[in-house]
Amino acid sequence: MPYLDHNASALPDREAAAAAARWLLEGVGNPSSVHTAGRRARAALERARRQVATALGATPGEVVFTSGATEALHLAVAGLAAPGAHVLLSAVEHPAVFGACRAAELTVETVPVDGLGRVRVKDVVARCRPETAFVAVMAAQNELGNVYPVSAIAAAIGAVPLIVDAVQLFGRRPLDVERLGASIVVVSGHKVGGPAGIGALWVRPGLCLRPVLRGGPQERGRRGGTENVAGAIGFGVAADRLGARLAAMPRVLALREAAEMGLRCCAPGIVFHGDPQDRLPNTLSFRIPGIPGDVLLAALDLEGFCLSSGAACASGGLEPSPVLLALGLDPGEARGAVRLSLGPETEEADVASFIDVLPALLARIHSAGLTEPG
Amino acid sequence: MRVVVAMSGGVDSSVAAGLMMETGHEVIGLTMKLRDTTEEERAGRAASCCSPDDVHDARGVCDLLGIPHYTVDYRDAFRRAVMEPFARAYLRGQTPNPCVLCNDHLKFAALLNRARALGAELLVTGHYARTWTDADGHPRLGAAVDARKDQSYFLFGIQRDALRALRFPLGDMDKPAVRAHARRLGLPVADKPDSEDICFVPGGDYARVVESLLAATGESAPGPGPIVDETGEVLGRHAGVHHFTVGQRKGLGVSRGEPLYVLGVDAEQRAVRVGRAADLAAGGLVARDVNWLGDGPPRGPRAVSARIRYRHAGADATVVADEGGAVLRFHDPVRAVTPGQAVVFYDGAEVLGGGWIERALPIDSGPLAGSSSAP
Repeated sequence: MPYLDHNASALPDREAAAAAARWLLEGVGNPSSVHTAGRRARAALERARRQVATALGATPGEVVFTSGATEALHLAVAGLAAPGAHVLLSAVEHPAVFGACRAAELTVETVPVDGLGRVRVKDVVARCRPETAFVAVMAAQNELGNVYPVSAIAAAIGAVPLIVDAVQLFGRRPLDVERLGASIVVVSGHKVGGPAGIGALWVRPGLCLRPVLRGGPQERGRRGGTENVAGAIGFGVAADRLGARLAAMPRVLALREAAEMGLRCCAPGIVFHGDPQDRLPNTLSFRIPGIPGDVLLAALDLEGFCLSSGAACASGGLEPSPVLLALGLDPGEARGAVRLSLGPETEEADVASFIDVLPALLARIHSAGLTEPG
Repeated sequence: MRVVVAMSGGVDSSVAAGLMMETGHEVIGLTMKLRDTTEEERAGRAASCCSPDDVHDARGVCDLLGIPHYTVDYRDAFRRAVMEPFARAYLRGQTPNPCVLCNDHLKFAALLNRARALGAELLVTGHYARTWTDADGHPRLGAAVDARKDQSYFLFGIQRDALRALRFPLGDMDKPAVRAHARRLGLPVADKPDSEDICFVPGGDYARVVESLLAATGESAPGPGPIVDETGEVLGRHAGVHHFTVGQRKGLGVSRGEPLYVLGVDAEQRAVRVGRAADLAAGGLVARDVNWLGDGPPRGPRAVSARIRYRHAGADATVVADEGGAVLRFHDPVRAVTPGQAVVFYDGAEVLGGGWIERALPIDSGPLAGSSSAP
């Protein structure tokens, strides 16, 4: 089963999975308890926090574990802005950021992107006001793979806090939160080989965050609720092994370039989305005129190939990707989008078989004469 | 062989999928998403087939059967090809049948093409109807064995080349047998209630749905007008012709010392014509957009059993094909021939074809062949 959807979820890192499973099977105790079992749980949790902090170039006390990136983004958004506050979002932020802003009843202004999905620093600066509660620009775009100039943006907006969703960048390009200059950086476990259901945010020291989940004093009062120790352990081990993922990226890039070349050959008229200059090495978004994305995805799935339309969420849903609409595509074009995303485990044969199977599928779809019904 | 099952989330199509799997086919489930959940549905006040939650049920059944499932977004097409024509038919004083439009434009056209795009050789549905191939290799369509569940009336518009690629595995079963299969297969929808309503009119409040559909397209709903009797006397006023259908007795709000029925609707005059039950009888009808299955259009008059609405038992009649349409004369008068509904021609169990009722013909309207000078 060639799995070409690593941006939706990475393949599990076996050691990370084994460590998490060991805790599920044998671990005892609540990290908040004072007894021996509690101390052991706390030690395991804090070791995981150190591992994640190290991978981010941070110190452990700055790392808050959450149930995932969505919750981390909600905490970042609601923690920094009061209802009604003006906030500035790139037009291609993850739906979790937009959703969190709606939930927090913020006044959202978006920074438009160009036809390649690029965010310009000056476009951010031009919209940033003294009263702006925060700016959110992701480090790398999940559908396009575009990498954004977040350091330059952080420097340009001065004292206004910058929220950086680094979920897709983490493990694909080096990330050092100190040098990034952001106020909050969000990462997710299952995008780097850890389990789903665990994420984290790095919070710049001195930044005061109002908690969203209020309850116990866990996570230094920033997130109530008993910690997901098994998830954190898995995330920690995956973070510990991030170097191997990064080291695989040149090979991943070569595979993606092979895919791109193969696609150009077997699908004349193919259009690639995103920034050809500054992009993650593993992501390739495209559309083939006359081929609805959902039909191609289903046809590929039936041959055992796992890909997505724009994003995994967009594959399950039916709306054209807002990200592609922000690039100026019309809804029909956006519905043609297919996203290929590779990982360290991707083999040459996966890409080669994908390119091999494609011409017959495209021919079959063309000959079925799909037209808008009605 | 690879087959696509059109899955609505109900028990029938779910069983169809299970049975196709048991006969060794590679089964793929497709569900058409036709519209978004309405406020009422979200509040749980109404339910019908093909409602948005049914997409979820269909996916659940496919997960349980271990087969792939994909949702197809036909919301725009459904609005354009089914819901809006449905509303506009009322503007013409007709009583439309949207299920046939959905079958003709979506299920057995667009969805069939999609099945082919996925490499499927057959499209399977949970309709109660039968197909077979005659000695010359031509595809034939017929009524289900269970007359109470038969849905062949809704299928007359299927193109002949499409018919070849369709299978209806429930056509020779009754509903208890289908439910028994569902339980045997362990399907979670085994006891899901049958849906009888039109999917986008779950509460049965047609007039309100027509009004909101027309409001959305910027058209105005039929306005108020007079209720008149055979002599032209105005008996009262009505709120809009879309509240009425031929044969209707309740809700007229007028009286004349005897039961009154809607005989017809004059959309231009905004008038609802009422009269005695006896005056509901028609001697025949003119149909348009007739699709001929079976042997194709008959060369001369053809004796058929004609069904003029769903669940109609059928009336003996003679039909003459007429330039894409047909003229039909009943052997005995038939009550409440309703413009906008479908008329489907049967020979025994076989569907010979069908079309849309344009207008009723009076009982003594002359010989059949001469009555084809329809406007």
